[in-house]
Amino acid sequence: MENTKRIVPDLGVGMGLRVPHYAHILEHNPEMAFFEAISENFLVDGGKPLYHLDRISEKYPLILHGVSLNIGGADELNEDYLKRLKELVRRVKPAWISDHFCWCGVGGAHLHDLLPLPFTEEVVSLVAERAHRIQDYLEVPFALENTSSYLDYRHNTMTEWQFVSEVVERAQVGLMFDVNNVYVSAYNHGFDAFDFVRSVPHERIFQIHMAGHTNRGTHIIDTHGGAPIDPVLDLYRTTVELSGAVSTLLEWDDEIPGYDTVASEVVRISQIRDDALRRRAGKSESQRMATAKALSLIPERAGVTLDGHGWVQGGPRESAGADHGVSA
Amino acid sequence: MTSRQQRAQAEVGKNPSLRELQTWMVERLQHDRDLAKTDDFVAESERVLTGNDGLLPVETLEIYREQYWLRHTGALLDDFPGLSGILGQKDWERLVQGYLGAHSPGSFTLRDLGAALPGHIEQATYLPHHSLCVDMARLEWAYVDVFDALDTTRSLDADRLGAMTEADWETAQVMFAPAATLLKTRFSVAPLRRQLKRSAAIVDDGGKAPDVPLPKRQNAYMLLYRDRQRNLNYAEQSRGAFALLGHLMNGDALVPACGLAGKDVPSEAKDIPGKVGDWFAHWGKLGVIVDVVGR
Ligand SMILES: [Fe+2]
Repeated sequence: MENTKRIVPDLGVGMGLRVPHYAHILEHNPEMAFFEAISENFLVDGGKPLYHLDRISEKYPLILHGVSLNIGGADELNEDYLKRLKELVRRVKPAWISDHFCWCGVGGAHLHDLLPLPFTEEVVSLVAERAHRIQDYLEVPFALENTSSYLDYRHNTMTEWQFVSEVVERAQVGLMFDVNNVYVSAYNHGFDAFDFVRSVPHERIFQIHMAGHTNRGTHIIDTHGGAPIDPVLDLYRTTVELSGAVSTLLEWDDEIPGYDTVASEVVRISQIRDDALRRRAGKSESQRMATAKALSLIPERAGVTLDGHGWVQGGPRESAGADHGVSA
Repeated sequence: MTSRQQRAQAEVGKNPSLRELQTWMVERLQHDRDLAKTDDFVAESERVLTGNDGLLPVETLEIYREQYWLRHTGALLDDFPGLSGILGQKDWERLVQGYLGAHSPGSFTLRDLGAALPGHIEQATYLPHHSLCVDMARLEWAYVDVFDALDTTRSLDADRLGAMTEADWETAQVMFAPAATLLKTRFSVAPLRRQLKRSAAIVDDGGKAPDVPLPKRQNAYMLLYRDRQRNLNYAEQSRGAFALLGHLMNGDALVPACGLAGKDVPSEAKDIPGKVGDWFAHWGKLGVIVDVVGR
């Protein structure tokens, strides 16, 4: 596949597809620009997960977002995983597909986490070569997402935004730009979130992620619980002003509220996006850069704590244990 | 952990290769205690990680270690509500810690996490209600497989079934839905699991679910399947029906399968031919038999 700048359509503002909302979506067909499903939850042979996915993809544009690719792992890529993913891509026909700038395990172990990559030339080469190859193999535009992180390596030789930009340019893939992750990492590592927003290649942003998080005072955990907070919405405004009309998706994975609550946040983000696009239309590029600089944001450290529990991207799986059939 | 065991683990220098770094981190993240409480971990984290204004390097690593355990414990809890219900909090945690320590997660999907749990429990004889736990784990893992087994596009044609002759049944093969399997247990664990799940849903103000009495030993012969709404379900079978299903699922034609089932269960042997019609109707209604094909 050739040089992939923004070759994907703008789908508007959508919502992460989550199990507790299936019944509402299938019964009421609510208006929603698009949904994004976690690929791994549907890499199964059959049963309810694929049944639900098929029903929803008949009615809505559907994007696939992966969490297990392990693109930065020192082991070879998992071919069985990629084969299954390609089958799912053929079934769902998403306009693009994404995974993360991260590693998940090594030596055969898979920790089901988005572990931070060292920002070094060695890793840029590895990830860029793989990303390019994966996009060719899957035959669909492919994007990688900046993750939130809680630790930082001493041997990093570049900033995260330099790393991310270098990989997507070299691999000619898209950037899935998670604005909340920028905020979380800026808070945890003490950099300026607007430096990140300003420095990535905006024309390569395929999609934006928005989410809530949990502030524990000393650090922020990216729980995807709650609505995005105002400073994240400010970062989003600037991102849209710099990038234009990019599909945006709200992720909500922890203590997932009813469909309507999440949908009302989607509406709010949509209004912010419209507003930012109007402002973009009325501004020159140089003005936009000046605004981004002036808005430079230093996250406040405020102490809110939450009980410790493991969160999983995409919320609960549809599983045998949680099967809603009362019989078993 | 002793200091000798620690020395046997991966070490990491100031400028590690990607594999060295990741090997070191995986070992630390799978450690079963708070990393910040061990001096060696504090020192080596200092070499590799920066920490931040509020957290020491080892504390930033500890965030991931804690999440590792919570995430995997949670995934097992999702898939084994019956087993965790029998064991209660303390024994469940001990079991899961031992299991994850012995079986490092390797699949890309959490769905596979419990694959080795039934085997692990067989060895975990320290568990209270050990035999009951073995049976429950086997049931719950079987449910995981039935839950997302392949769908079938075949459907039983009543007319064609009616037109089958005695001779046809000598050779015809009965086709089953992929989402159907047999399980023999020493305890009646399927109804127990249902009760435990219901009980767990009714938690009082003190965070305690109502007690569910555990069953006495009594063999159970179960057909596990997905119903037409794709919900998991089970149907208890007589020993004869269970034996016949086993042979049919192995690919034996009906007439020879009846003979084999009669040998397995001599006390029911003479009744089997007279009951087969009802059994077939029952299995067809459940959606378990999906076709009969001539050979
Ligand atoms: Fe995200």
